[in-house]
Amino acid sequence: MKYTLRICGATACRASDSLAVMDKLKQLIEERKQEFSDKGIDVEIKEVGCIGLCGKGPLMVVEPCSILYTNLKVKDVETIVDSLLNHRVAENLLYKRDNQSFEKINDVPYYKYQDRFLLRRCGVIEPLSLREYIENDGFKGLKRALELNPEEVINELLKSKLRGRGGAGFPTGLKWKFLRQAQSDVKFLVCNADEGDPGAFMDRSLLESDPFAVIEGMLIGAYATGAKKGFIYVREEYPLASQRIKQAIKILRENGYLGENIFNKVSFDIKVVEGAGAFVCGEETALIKSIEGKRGQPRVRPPYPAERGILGKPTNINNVKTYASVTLIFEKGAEFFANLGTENSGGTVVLCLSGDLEDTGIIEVKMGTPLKTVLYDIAGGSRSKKELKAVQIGGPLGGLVPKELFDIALDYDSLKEIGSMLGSGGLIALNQDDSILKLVSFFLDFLRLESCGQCTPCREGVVQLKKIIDRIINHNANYEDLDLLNKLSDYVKNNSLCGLGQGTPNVIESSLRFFINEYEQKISGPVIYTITDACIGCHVCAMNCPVQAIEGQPKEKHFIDQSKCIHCGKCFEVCKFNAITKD
Amino acid sequence: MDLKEDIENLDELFNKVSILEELSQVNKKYGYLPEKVLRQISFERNIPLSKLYGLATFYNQFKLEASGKYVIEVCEGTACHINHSSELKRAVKDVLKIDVNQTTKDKLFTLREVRCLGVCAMAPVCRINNKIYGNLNYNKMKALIKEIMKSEGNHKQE
Repeated sequence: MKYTLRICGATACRASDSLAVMDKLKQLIEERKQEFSDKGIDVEIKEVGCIGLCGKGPLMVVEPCSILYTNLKVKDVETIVDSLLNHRVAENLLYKRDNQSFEKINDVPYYKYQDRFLLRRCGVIEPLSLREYIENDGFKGLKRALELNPEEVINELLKSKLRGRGGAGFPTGLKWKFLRQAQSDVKFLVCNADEGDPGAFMDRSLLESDPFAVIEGMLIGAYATGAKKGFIYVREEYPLASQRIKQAIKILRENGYLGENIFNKVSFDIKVVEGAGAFVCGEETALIKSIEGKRGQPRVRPPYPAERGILGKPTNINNVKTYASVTLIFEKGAEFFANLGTENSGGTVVLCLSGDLEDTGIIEVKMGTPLKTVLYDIAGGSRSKKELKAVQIGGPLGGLVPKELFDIALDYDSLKEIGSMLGSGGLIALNQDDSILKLVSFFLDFLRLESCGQCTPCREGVVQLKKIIDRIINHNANYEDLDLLNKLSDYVKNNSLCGLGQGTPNVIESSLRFFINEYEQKISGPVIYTITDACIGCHVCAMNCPVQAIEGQPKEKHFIDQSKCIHCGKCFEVCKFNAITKD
Repeated sequence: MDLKEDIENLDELFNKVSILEELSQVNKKYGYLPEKVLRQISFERNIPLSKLYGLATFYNQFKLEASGKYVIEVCEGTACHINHSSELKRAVKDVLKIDVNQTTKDKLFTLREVRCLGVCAMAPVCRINNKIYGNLNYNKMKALIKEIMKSEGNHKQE
């Protein structure tokens, strides 16, 4: 009898000490080696990539019975070892939802409603084991692609209806066609792993968990477009991803999958370039400049990178998930991939769930799956048991989906219709206590700092937008400010040079459309004062309150009775500990 | 550009260390970009110092001032932000009496904000010298710093 323990060694689980759990397991199994051999039990421990339920890490799956253990601690190791020796399940470590525990990973609701295709090897294989990669259908796609001629490869890709996974959703087949048609002896392929959107982390996860799949996609791209050199641009905040992909490249070079005459059909090599922390470098022309070692400032398109890219040479840039999708398409066939999706876009959607959800992490569903399936069936609804108010989707340049529209299908076109976008696939759930305006202000602050500064509408416009929003938040605005906000949003959108400036107003427009009541409350409603945890219980506010609305024992946190409060602001003025907030 | 120049440029880009990569290496080694080193690179590569300054101030990773032995980077991504990353900064301020981008007088701690670390599922998170800590709150953050202070011996609170 042999058990295989798959332990997650990706960034999130590492942050909750999965490696310590793994070391302890190895140590204990070694110590009790005799017991295991007496019972004829063989145990193999594998450090795999992301298993996906990052919020409940560290995670472990016991094969062959596929039992999922969550929230592991070093002290649980003994229980696990005992359970293995007795062929039992360690009940207390199982995944639980609504007082029900689940043994098998595929019965766990978080996984049950998913369709994991891009993520099929994540958390299953050892990320840098070429043998395991090949055993799990690795390089099948490349071999199939090499049987076709380059034009047929591009046609197959067009048939698959794959659209760029970086956010804009441009058909990948067309992009490749442009590069193929470009007249040049030197062409480049770039993999954009500058996943700057806060709230999105699937590119990191794919590079950490299944790096060969991304490179295989690039190899197919090299064959189809005629590019001989490639770059993978990884952001510096992802040290593990960058290290894994570099190791993967080295392994592939040693085994003849990168370099000259791969399968006698294609020559291709890849260099990894690390970013230095600039959100705007996710924009393709900025990314090109950054690879060239310059300031990452976007330029006007056209000419598009397919005409003038790195060093002025034709260049094609795709996202990590796009390349991984290409691998999948050639492994399973264009028709299969197209059928996973909707009429206009094939394949699956990978989403990163965070915010107020019971289960957070990375998931994959078919394109067109309703949002509510993701929020309630997969993620289990709100963690704090409050009502969800909205989700923010697509990063700082994306938009909001209010709870009334949770029926919406997750695909490029449906989200675009309501002024949101799928973007990179970061999905953040907000509950009734989260302030939409503060979120908008947060995004504007982010984009203000990340603006490259070369065009005025973005550099100056975003600063002013933020000022207006902050005025509204602080109850210092009037209805004219709403008009101004609308006008300026329009101006920034229509006159900025690149996607960053053009996309900045999305979140404002989206919030005005769905949460105008929050704006109105701030403009014409009373100021709500609340006491925070910083309160030391000095009682000064209570003594100064003209209507005795503040209660609390000395040296304990005080409370404001909102039904008595007349919103005079006296407490705010007298508090010396900044423990009272205005809202 | 003629063909020869093209190939040279390509070779340069693919096989050599770009200026950005070199700055990155320096920044990793020292924790910031010392002026002396920048002047040297400027001389060696024949690139005006102003250009290097332009790069150094464009990218968030580069710092122009030395940081403490422990760099506490509180994540300011969206998920962390709505899960009260401000509380983590408050904890650091309360224990170490430093604000964002400041270093304690004994050069032990620097507080920084960082763009999304991609561990949103465990928000709020912080990174201290490349190790990520997740699911934090005000008290856990305080305990974390105090633990480091203890391991460092007699760090005096300024």
